[in-house]
Amino acid sequence: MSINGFLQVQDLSLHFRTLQGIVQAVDDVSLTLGKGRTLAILGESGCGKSSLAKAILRLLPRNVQAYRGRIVLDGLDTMSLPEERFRKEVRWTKIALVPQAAQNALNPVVKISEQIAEPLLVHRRVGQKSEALERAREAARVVGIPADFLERYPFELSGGMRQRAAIAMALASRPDLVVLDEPTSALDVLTQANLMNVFKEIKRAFGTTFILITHDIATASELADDVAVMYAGQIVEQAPASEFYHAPRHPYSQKLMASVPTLREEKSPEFIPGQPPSLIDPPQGCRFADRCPARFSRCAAAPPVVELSPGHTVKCWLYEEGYHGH
Amino acid sequence: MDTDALLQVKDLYTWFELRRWGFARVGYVRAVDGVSFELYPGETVAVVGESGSGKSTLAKTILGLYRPTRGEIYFAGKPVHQMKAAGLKEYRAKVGYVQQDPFGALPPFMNVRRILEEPLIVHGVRDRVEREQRIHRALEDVKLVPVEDYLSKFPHQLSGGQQQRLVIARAILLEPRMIVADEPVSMLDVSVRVEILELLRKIQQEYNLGIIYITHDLSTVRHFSHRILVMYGGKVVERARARDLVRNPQHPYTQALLAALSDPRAENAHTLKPVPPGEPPSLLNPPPGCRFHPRCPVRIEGLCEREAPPEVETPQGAGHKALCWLYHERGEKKEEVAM
Repeated sequence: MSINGFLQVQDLSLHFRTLQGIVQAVDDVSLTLGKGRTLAILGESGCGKSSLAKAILRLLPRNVQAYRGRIVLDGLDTMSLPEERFRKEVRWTKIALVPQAAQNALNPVVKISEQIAEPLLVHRRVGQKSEALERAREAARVVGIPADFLERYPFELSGGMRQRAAIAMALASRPDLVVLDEPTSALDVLTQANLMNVFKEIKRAFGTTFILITHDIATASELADDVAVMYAGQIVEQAPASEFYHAPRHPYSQKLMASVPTLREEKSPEFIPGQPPSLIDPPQGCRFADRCPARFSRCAAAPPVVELSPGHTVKCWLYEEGYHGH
Repeated sequence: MDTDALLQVKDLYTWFELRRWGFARVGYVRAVDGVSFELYPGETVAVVGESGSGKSTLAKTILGLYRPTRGEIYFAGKPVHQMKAAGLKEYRAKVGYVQQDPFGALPPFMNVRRILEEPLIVHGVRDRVEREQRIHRALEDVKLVPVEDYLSKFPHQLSGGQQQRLVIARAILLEPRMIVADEPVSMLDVSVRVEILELLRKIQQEYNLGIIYITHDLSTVRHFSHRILVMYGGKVVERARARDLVRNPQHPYTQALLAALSDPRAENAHTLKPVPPGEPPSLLNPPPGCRFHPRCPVRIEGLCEREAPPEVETPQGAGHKALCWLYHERGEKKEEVAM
């Protein structure tokens, strides 16, 4: 794994305490992301992808049992910072989040312009309110909110426009890294396509680094430079998008890709039989083994992370030395 | 009248009255605005549209949950739009409903057996043994097996896919002839969606069911329906056999919708998607003329913004129709004038 990434996550774990036991939502996750690139984290519900976003932003609920590992953003070891410094120096200034269903999380009684400006004032990015509103207007323009919409309230806007407001809020403080958690999944097809265009333009114009968390493999391909596939709290494959979409290597990635109904190809989609394991006391060996068509004796032990080519890693015994050709 | 059709919807309008202060009528939300189609036994008709296109209102009107403002619905030749309570009860036993959010559709305080027993009791199946047999058969049909393992479980103990299968079991319990499925898989994971849709298809083949599949997702529709109706602003703007519609969309709106959908390919990241400007029309004050004209890239000035287009057969033939002036002789003439 290269060590000159802009964002580096090493052996990150986030476990929650619940009545049923300890949930290993994120388990020994390592990632590298270059500046100006977009990493799509793909996975199904309950695989831990949103917990990973929360772990990166250190937005932790009270029932955390373990939070360990290393996160280095642009040379700064963020996990070693005390909470107060993290809040002031990292959260929302260096890393911003567009949470899931953000379009429904806006304050109904505050005008759009003031909502976009608020984090700037709270995080003391600017001193004057007028300056904050100016920055808000600029951010709104970037995401394509018409100027006269800024003086409206959230209920007067469509879902797509509200989502743009939430994105403008994240962009206004000019963060180095923006984490998008399912940014388009509740929106209509055309609105979705529109927003993906907005992200592409932001990326091109400002070189913003994105982490895109989604279950939608097809939409992710619109923005991703790199892809990481999560399954049961672990990353099972990380690859450049060009390699991943051409030929995913992990059996789960392959199955997941085959389950996507395509519009322009003839093949019929397939489903993955079975269910992911519980994250309370997950299996010792490969967590996908139960559903894997290619499992063999070694899968009872935890698989190693194998580097197939620069930047392309797979957590699977099939690719271990001596097993090539499977 | 077509006697083979299971369901016939003729020029259906469902409008909602909008009042201010409780009595002053402000206007109508024209959710379904003149929709006609037929559904045959063993056939799946998909109704595709974005939010606010009227597709769910259409489903609920067909189910008898809303009274149509105007128009006719015939189920196996019987007029649904004229039915009173007793007739509707009988009708609803023959029509299954699969909702979008399985968890919301299942009462959290009832276990699987209670959930499935209730409709049987409501519809007068008195014999306990028979009820038990029918519950078993429905659960086997949706592959919730071994049945004994599921009977005493509560909805929260089931996964999303299992919950949706339970909803389907409930829908087929009374041996319906038609199922209305409103976004049956949009809340589920990709890897489970296909499983549920295949299950519906299998049940359809076994019982020769007619299915109305309401969705916003064109990519699943192609694989799981026979015919597609595309709705926009309360109207059906295009209809065709599933494959024809996806391969050769004729209405500019359908073309835009298909162009906006991505297949999973890395190349997508290099180009911007063509997206028509603006937003779907308000159903309270729809634009005059064609409802898509403010966003349409090929609108004919002087015609599309003035007169509502009729439904015309497109050059594709085979029942491929579009609500668009482009395929009407008046539109063709205008085009020549414009050139």
